[in-house]
Amino acid sequence: MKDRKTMMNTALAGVVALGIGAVSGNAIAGKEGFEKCLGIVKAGQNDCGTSKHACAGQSTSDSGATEWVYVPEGTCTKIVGGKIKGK
Amino acid sequence: MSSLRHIQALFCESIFEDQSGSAVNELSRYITPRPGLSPQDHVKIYRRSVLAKLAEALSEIYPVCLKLVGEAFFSAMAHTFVRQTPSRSPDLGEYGHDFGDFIEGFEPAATLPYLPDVARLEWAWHRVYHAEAAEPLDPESLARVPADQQGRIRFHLAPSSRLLKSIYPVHRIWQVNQTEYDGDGRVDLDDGGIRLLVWRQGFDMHINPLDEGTWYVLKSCRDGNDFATVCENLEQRAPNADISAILPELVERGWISSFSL
Repeated sequence: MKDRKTMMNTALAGVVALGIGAVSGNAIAGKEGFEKCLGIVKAGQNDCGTSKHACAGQSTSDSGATEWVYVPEGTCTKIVGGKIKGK
Repeated sequence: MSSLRHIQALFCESIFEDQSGSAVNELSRYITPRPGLSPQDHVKIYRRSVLAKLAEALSEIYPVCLKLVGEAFFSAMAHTFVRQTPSRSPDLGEYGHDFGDFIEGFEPAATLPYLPDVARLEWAWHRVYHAEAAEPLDPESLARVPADQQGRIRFHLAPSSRLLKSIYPVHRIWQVNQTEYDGDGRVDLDDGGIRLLVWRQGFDMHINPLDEGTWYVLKSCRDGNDFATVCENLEQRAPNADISAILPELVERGWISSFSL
C-alpha cells in the first residue's frame, strides 16, 4: 500500500511537472506512433441533408428485404485469413 | 379515441409496421382521400421517405461497411435494420448506434465476422466527430490535491474520445477502405486484435492503437474507478506498465481532460 502511494504521488508529480503550456495539444503532434488521418471530412447530417429522397422515396425502400439474395460484393474480398476464434 | 397522441402513435406504427397494414388501415380513417390518391397512398409517401432517410443516414455514418459489402447488400441490410429500429431521438446524428450489434445477429453478414466491429469503429468515429471539445486539464490543479486524497481522484476521458477493442485488425480494415488510400487494400485478419482510442484534436480526427498499459488505465478511468483502483487494475493486468510514465502522457495528449474528487 505504501508502494502504491509513492507510485501515485510520482505519477501525479509527473503530470504537475508538465506545466500548463504542455497540455495545449500541439505538443504531442510530432510524437512517434502517432496515426494521423487527414482529409476525412464528413458531410453535416440533418434532415435536410438527405431530403433528396423526400416524397418519391427510393425504389428499394419499400421492398421486402427478405426477397434479397444477400451476396456481399464490396472490398471485403480483399480481407483474407481469419482463423481467430472466440471473443 | 382520436387524440393527437393516438394519431401520432398510429402514424409511427404505420411507418414501421410489417406488411399486414393494420395500423395504416386504422390511420386511413383520419385521412381525407384525394382523387387518384388513397389514404394508404398518402401514408406510403411518408413511409418511403422516412425509411429512405434513415437508411441514407446509416450509409453516411457507415461508409466503410458500405464499401466492404457493396451498395446492394448494404442497402438491404440497412433497410432491414431501419424497419425494426424507429428513431428515438430528434437528432438524426444519434440514430444507428446499435447497427454493429444488429449486424452481429444478421445472418447474411455472418461470413464477415469483423463487420460488427468495423461498424462499432465507425460509430465511435461518428460520435467523436460530433462530440463537444474539452478544455485541457490544468496540471497545476492536481498539485492542490492533498496527499491523503490522491487515491480518490477520478480522472475523466475527453468527451471527444472513445475506446474500442476488437479481435480483428479493424483499424487496418478502416484505413485501407478510406477513399484516399492508394495501397492494394489487402488486410490479413490473422494480424490479430487491436485496442484503439478514437479521438479528436480540434478538427483533426485520430485513431490510435494503444499499448496494454495505456488501454487499461484509460478503460479503468472510463469505468469510473478512482486513481488507487486504476493503479491496482494496472498492476494486475499489465504488471510491467508504469503509471508514472503513462499518466503524464495521457494528460499531455489531452486524452484525460479533467478530474474530480
